[in-house]
Parts: sequence; structure tokens; C-alpha cells
Amino acid sequence: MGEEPVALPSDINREMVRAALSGARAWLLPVLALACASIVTAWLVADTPLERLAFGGSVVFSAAVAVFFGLRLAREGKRRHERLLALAGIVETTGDGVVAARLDRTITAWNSGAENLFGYTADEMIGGSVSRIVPPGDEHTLQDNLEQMLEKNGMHTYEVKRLRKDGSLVDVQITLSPLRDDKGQVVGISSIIRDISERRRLEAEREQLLAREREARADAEDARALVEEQNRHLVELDRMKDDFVASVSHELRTPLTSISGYLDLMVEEGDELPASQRQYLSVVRRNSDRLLRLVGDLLFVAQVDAGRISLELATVDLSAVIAESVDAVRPVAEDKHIELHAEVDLIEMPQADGLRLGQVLDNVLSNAVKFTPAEGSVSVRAFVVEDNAVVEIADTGMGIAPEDQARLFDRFFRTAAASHMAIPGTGLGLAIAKAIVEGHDGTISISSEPGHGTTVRLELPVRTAEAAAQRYVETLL
Amino acid sequence: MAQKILVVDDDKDIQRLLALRLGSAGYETAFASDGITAISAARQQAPDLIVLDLGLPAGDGFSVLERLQALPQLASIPVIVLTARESPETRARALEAGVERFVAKPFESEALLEAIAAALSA
Repeated sequence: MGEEPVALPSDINREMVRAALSGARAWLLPVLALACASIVTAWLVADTPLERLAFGGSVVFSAAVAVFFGLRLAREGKRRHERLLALAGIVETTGDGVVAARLDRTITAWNSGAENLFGYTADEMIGGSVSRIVPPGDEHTLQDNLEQMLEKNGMHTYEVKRLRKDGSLVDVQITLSPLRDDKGQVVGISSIIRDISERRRLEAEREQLLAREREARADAEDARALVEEQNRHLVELDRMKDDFVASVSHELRTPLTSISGYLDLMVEEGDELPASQRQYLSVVRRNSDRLLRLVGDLLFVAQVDAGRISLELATVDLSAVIAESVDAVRPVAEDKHIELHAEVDLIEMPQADGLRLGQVLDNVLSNAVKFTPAEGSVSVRAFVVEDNAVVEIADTGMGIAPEDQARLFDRFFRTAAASHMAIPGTGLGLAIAKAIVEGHDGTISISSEPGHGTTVRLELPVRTAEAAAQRYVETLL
Repeated sequence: MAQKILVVDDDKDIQRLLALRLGSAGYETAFASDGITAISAARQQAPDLIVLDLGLPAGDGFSVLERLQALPQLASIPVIVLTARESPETRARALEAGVERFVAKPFESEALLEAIAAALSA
């Protein structure tokens, strides 16, 4: 390479013939010249047959020597040529563009890789300037990189954009190396040019993906911060609500303390009061108790909300708790001529809050009596199934419309029928019952047929902590 | 001699109610309406027992409890908390602060008198 254009495949056969001829020329001409010179000299100089024989011998010897060296030279030439051909073949078949140029940028070699890459044929480019494939304004890249190559005095690789024949730009990686003459002087440059547009595309794609990922992460981070902020806000609101409920309940209970305290005094000292006034006082008493229960219920609901419902666990005789609640509703039931049945097995709960369970039964039983018309019946059954105490409170009341059933445990929810019939209540009873039952790891469910009655079913685990632990171990085994 | 009970409560009606109830049960009563006078009254009156409300002006019941505990001559006086701020937390906190009994408002007079008798005999 260098001063002469590199052989290209189409020329290879022609080149081989030329090489063979030049190899032959290398030894044939000197031998022929030497032989002719020897024969002429022999005939001119020799007089005797002996002399002629001597000359003839020297001629043959000279010819033999010439043939020997000539053959060696020819073999060497052929080998060198084969090496060149092999190199040319490699250069030609590589996918990369291989281009050689003089220092003045005149192109001296342009392989098929370069043809494919840039769209110019070797004929179009050889003899032309390298500047043809440099995008306008980027000419300095030629000089800059040439200088860097000379500075390194060896290979120099860089990445750059180059111009195709169709005017499009292509991302390439170029490796420059110096071409030297026999004396080692740099006379040209060879460039191996690799198309890296696919790599660039992948890099860009990756960059884009990374950017998108960063964006998504930023979005997620923003969302998380927002949720955190909202949570803080909610926690703050929750705390404010708790404070509010606590202070309202305090503010309500203080006057209620005076009302009920002085009422008690009045009733105790009120023997000489007329019967009508004593009855008025009992109405005041009943309503102050009701108000107090309502305040207690509100506070309890607030505690459930704050996840602070605390149960005072002890061994509880569930049958006694049920009996007390049944006794509590008995006067109202009797007033309405409602029959009260109780079929209660003796059930002991090793870990329960008797007061809270009493509250559940009070709420459920008072509902049953409230919503059952005169002459109806309310029955309570309690029994144990496996590890659960089951309490069923069934009434023959008005029942609950299907659309209302799902919302029965929502706080402050009252059925349309209850409101319509002006049956008193706050809509907190079942919400509180549910919270207490769930606080005992139990369940509460309601089945009802409008017009026929309602059954509330409680299931409460009766196993002790040890039994629960035992069961846990059994499950593990 | 009758035993003396200091009632700390900012509600005058409740003070009078307690005066009536405790008086008829045979106790002598003294009153304070806020956290600051509670301490000076406790010093001057040297009561046998204190009935303490938690929601008080000028330092709530818990800070009164703290100061009582910090003063050697007052630390041994038994305290009953009588409060409308009834919750599992306040109950636990009060008992932790060394209170003998916790009674929620509104109260039944028998329950309060029972708690007082128990705290005095302890």
C-alpha cells in the first residue's frame, strides 16, 4: 500500500500472471545474457578444443549458478506476492471500510467495506480527497486526528460522524495508522472505518430507557412524598379528631356529673315530693343516663378509630353476661308483650372482657326488642361449636331490607325503616358491637328476611392462650 | 377527729356536690380550683387524702401529681383521681403516677366513698 493502489479482487488473477512473469524475468534474463556472453567469448577466445571445453564448462556452470539463484529469487518473489495477495484478500473481505491516503488527503485505496459504508465506489474515490466524506464544518477533525496519530507515532482511534454519498450522516469509529516508505518516513495514512451507528442507536436507546427510568423513579418518589405528606396530614387530623372527641366528651361529662349527682340527691331527699314530680325526675334521670351512654359510645368509636380499643381480659362466665343483658331488656319486652326465650349453655371464656361483651349483648338485644312488634318474640341461644362460643339472637321483627344489610355495621347508619318509624337510636350500636367482637378475634353476622325477622350470630373463640399456642404448635407439626 | 379531704376541681357545682356527699359521710372538706392553689392548699391544710380532677386550669392534674410527689411532706398523701377524661391511657398513666384509685365522672357516690375509704385505710 502507499504509493501504489492496493490490488482489488477483480485484479487478482491478472496480478498472479504478472507476478509469475516478473518472477521468471528475474532469473531468465541474466541467465540468457550470461550464456550468450559466454558462447560469444568462447568462440572468440578459444583456439583449441580443450579451451573450448573449459569455456563450455564455465558456461554451463555459470548457467547452473544463474538458474539456482534465479529459481530462489523467483520463489521468494512468489511468496512475497502471495503474502500481499492474502493481505489484500483480508482487507477486501473485511466488513470494515479500509482506506489509505497520502498526507495531502488524496485517497490511494478504498475497499469494498468503504464502498458499502459510504456508497462511493473505489473508482469514484481513488485519486479524490478524503474531505469528500467529511461533513461540512468538520474538516478540522481530519487535521486534529492526524496530528494526534503522529504524536503517538502509532495507532489512533476516534469516533466521529462522516458523510455518505446519499447525504446522510453515519457514526463511525476510525483507527488511523501511519504508512511508511522504505526509509521509515511517514508518507500516508491507513484508516480502518467501522460503522457504529447500531451501537450508537442501542446506546441512545439505553440512555432513553435510563432517562425514562429516572423519570419514573422521580415520579414514584414524588408520589411517595405526596402520600407521606398526606399521611402526616391524616395522622395530624386523626390526632386533632381524637383530641376533639376527648375534649368534647370531657366537656359533656362534666355537666352530666352535676346533673346526675344533684338528681341523685333530689331523689334521695324527695320523699315528700308529689308522685307526678318524682315521675318527672325519673324521666330526667333516664335521659341523662341516655346522654351519658351516647357520650361513652362516641368516645369508644373514636378509640376504635385510633386503634386504641383496649380490653380488660379475664375469665368471663358468658352465660352470666347473657343473663344480665336479657334481664336488662326484660322490662321493655314485657311492656311490648314480647316473649323472651333464652337457651344458654354454661360457657366460660378464659380470655374476655365481660363488660364489653355485655355491651355487645345489650346493643344487639335492645335492637331485637326495639324492632320487634308487640306480641312477637326474641330468643337467645348460646352453645359451643368446636373452639367457638356461638350466641344467636333471633327476633320475629320487621327484618332488614337487603339493600340496608351491607351497611348495618357502618357507624351512624340507620335503616330507612327505623328512621321512618321514629325508632330511637344513634346508629352506633352495631358498629361498637362489631369492634368489640373483632377485638376478641370473633365474628358477628346478620341474616334477615324482611317481614319475618332477623338473626344476629356471634362467634367468639373460647380457647385459652395456652390452647391457642398448643393449636399453633400442632399446625406447625 | 374527722379526716380531711382536699378536693381539687375547677367546677363549683361539683365542689358543692362533693362537699354535700363527703360532709354527710363524715369527712371534713377543703377545696382548690386550679393546679397552683392545689399545692398551696395541700401544704396549708395537710389533708388525709386528695380528690384530684385531671382537667384543671393553671397546670393539669398530672403536673399537680408530679409536684406532690416531689415534695417530701406531700408525697405520702393518697390521691384519688376523679375525672371526666376517662380513657384506658389516662387511667394507666394516672395509676403509674402513683394514684390510689381512678374514678370516672359522672360517678356514683357510693363508688367514690368506697374508693376513698379504701385509699385511707391502705
